[in-house]
Amino acid sequence: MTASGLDLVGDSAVGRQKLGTMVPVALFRLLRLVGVMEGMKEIAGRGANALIYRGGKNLGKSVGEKLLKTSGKDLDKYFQEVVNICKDLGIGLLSIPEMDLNRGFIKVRVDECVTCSGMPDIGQVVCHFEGGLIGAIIETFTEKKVTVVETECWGKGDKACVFEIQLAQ
Amino acid sequence: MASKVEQITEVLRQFRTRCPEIIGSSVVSMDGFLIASVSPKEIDEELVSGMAAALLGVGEQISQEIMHAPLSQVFVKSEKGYVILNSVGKDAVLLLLVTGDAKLGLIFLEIRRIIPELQRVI
Repeated sequence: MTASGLDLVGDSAVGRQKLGTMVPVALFRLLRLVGVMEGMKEIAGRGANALIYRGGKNLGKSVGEKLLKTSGKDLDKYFQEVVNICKDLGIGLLSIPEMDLNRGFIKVRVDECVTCSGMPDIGQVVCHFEGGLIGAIIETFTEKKVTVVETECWGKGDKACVFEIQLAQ
Repeated sequence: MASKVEQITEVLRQFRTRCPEIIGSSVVSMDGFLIASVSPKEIDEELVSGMAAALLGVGEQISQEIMHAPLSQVFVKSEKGYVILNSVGKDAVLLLLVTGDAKLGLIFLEIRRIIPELQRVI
């Protein structure tokens, strides 16, 4: 029997009856930034970002498909569902400061990002996973390929993450 | 004035005209996004773009670790032909699919010729 996508999460309440279902953000970051990002960079160098982005994208596709079932093809409702789920899961506080669907452009801001908020300035953006996640969520709704560029991040000294998303015309 | 994507596509198209053994060619970003492509329709270009960026990255790391030298090229030989990856500056990768009976010397020569052309456009 195999499991994939969201099913891999399983039921941690059953498996962790004494330790519970929550872990500190610091542990998440150790896994995400030290375990995954630095580990992948050691193997794939500057190609690691593409791998991490892909991971986020796979997750975003599953999340997008799930949200689409409740929101239907209502863009405002869909984005509200995305904002809610990101807040509820502690991923970050999402807002959309700019959207121009005529030229296929969406800017997404993430405050209090689970991966990077409060991290030191290392001179580079680090939220490729989150970029893939957001990109795939938008791609699932619009059914258009997207290109995501993270322009602001705590990793390069900013105070929030900003993703610029370009939809294929 | 043609857009950047149109200019890159034109360079790739001319390359394929000069070397008909090239089945497909793409330029992708190091973040794994497709920039321009002249490739067969059945290829999942988005997935392959991610693979190309990752594979070039692994090639650079292994070249540096084992040979203590910068990577020149990543070359994959399959039963049906070749996949050749070359860095285009610091931000992009040239990906070529080539038939198994191609004269690789000529292809390599052409690659050396078009990379500066692509760099100028990118």
